[in-house]
Amino acid sequence: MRKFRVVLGPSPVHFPDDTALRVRGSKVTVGVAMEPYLAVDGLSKSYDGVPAVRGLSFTISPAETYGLLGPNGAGKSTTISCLYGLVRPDAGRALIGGLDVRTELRRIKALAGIVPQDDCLDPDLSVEENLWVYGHYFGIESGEVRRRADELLRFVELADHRKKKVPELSGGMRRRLLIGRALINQPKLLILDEPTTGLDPQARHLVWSRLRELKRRGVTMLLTTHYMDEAQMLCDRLAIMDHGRMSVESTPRELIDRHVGASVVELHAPPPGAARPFSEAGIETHEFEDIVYLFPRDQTPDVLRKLSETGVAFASRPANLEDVFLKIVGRGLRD
Amino acid sequence: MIDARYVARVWRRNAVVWTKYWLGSFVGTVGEPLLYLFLLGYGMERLIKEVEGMSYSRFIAPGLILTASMYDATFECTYASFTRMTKQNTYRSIISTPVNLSEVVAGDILWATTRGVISAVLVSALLALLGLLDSPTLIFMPLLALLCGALFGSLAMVATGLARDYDFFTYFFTLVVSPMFLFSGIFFPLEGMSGWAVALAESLPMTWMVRMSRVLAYGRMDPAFFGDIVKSILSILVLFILSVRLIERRLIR
Ligand SMILES: Nc1ncnc2c1ncn2[C@@H]1O[C@H](COP(=O)(O)OP(=O)(O)O)[C@@H](O)[C@H]1O
Ligand SMILES: [Mg+2]
Repeated sequence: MRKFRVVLGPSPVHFPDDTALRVRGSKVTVGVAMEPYLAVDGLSKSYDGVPAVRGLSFTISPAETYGLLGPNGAGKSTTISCLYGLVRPDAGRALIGGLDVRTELRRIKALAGIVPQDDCLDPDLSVEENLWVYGHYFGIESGEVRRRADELLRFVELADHRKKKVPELSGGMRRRLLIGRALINQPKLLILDEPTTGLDPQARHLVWSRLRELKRRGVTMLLTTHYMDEAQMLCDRLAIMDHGRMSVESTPRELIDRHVGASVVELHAPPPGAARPFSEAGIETHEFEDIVYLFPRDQTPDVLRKLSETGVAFASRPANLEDVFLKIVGRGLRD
Repeated sequence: MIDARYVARVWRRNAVVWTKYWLGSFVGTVGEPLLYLFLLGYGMERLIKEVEGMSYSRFIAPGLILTASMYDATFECTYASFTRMTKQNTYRSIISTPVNLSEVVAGDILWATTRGVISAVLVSALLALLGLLDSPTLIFMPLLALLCGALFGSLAMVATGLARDYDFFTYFFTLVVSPMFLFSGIFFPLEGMSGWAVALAESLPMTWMVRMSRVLAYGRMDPAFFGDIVKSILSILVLFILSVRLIERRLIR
């Protein structure tokens, strides 16, 4: 849920979607303002003239988990990299905790935890040394960093592997260590770029459970993913982006309701024209390869009855975020 | 823009890693100069009775001290730093913390300098024990090694900023480092060579280093000494700033 709060006096951050009511001629501004913890406004970035992010804007409230979804090359990693100085945006700005990324980068990096898309653990160090040394970069003194490391090793279930060298770790262990490492400075904001890509189901579930735990503790999170189940489970709100732009943004439930409806009917290898009566009746249909998808909304019982009369192979199931994603982004391959 | 506390944290990371293999690191850095000293020195002394009024071994000894520093700092800021910057993504992960990229570069150079100083201390102690060098001013050699390490660390970092792959360092070593080693007055006096040769040698920072190391090793002042110090410090500044620019251009898009 978004948290709204009444702010007396100038609100700390001003954004176009702030519903601030200004009293003309008065110094006091009274308004109902959402105070975002992270705010990105008009962010644009091109690489050698090729746009990667084009005028992206979004905000994240404190303690909210926000997802950036999109096919490969949509601009998710570029957006995230702009937030901690790895990429310098061509235009637009980003504020984190009221600090401007352009001028207060050091302070922003001190309060953020970053789990990058590709592995960048220190292979010259053991598991526990990775945490200690990373903690030292933040200036955390030795006793404290060891205490935190012990706690984090338990949290990401690596306590039994603390003396191992990084190259000996499995993919899942490395990702858990990356997450543990990003927590060493007790970040207010955790940024995760595809935290579960390439992990086996057990490892993914462990990562999800830890992220939910962090969410309960009130950590604000920004994550990118192209797993829809992950986004649906973890994100309070999410944006689907494509070609550097935001296509839609809302809660997972609202996106499903708005774009697909409660259920989806799939016709499996239907004879040509089998879907035509439905589309003529105003039902949204999508054809891809050998499957036709129907989004019948309130006509579901009707559609199911008619289908059972025709003898076409079909299946009915609850709609999910993947339906929304594929509808918006399209089903063509992106490499 | 550069905060020494953050530089120290990067330095410390390298020191932690070094404690795992420190013994092995001495084999090359101390062993190599001693090979030159004993094999080349011994061999040449049969041909050369005296250079500038001293034995050939004593003549090449001061330069060999800083050769250790030069090679240490150069290896550290080429192969090792390049690996951290590219393959291991270590630079990227450090700049995700409050440490800035310029501080990462400075930390690596400072670490390379440290290695150079340690080697210079070991080699000069050995040479003193062997009785080849005996001036009390030898005590100041670590300070000179500091300049030498910082200069060659920064120069190597510029190469790292330019390198596309490891092959680049082969060129760097063959075209820059080796000429520096062979043509800086370590093995033969530069006095009396033709004008262009002297001008070439004078353009090599190692020539300044070798001249300064003779001042400290023999306790014999040279009129160029303070000029050499100033030139070295200015070169370090220019090379360091250049290397930061180059590496920023690579890592920050
Ligand atoms: N360092 C880079 N240099 C040039 N092009 C890049 C670079 N990083 C990303 N791109 C391009 O920018 C676009 C967006 O990439 P990215 O932000 O990585 O997308 P995503 O994370 O959503 O897959 C892609 O077309 C990609 O090829
Ligand atoms: Mg990406």
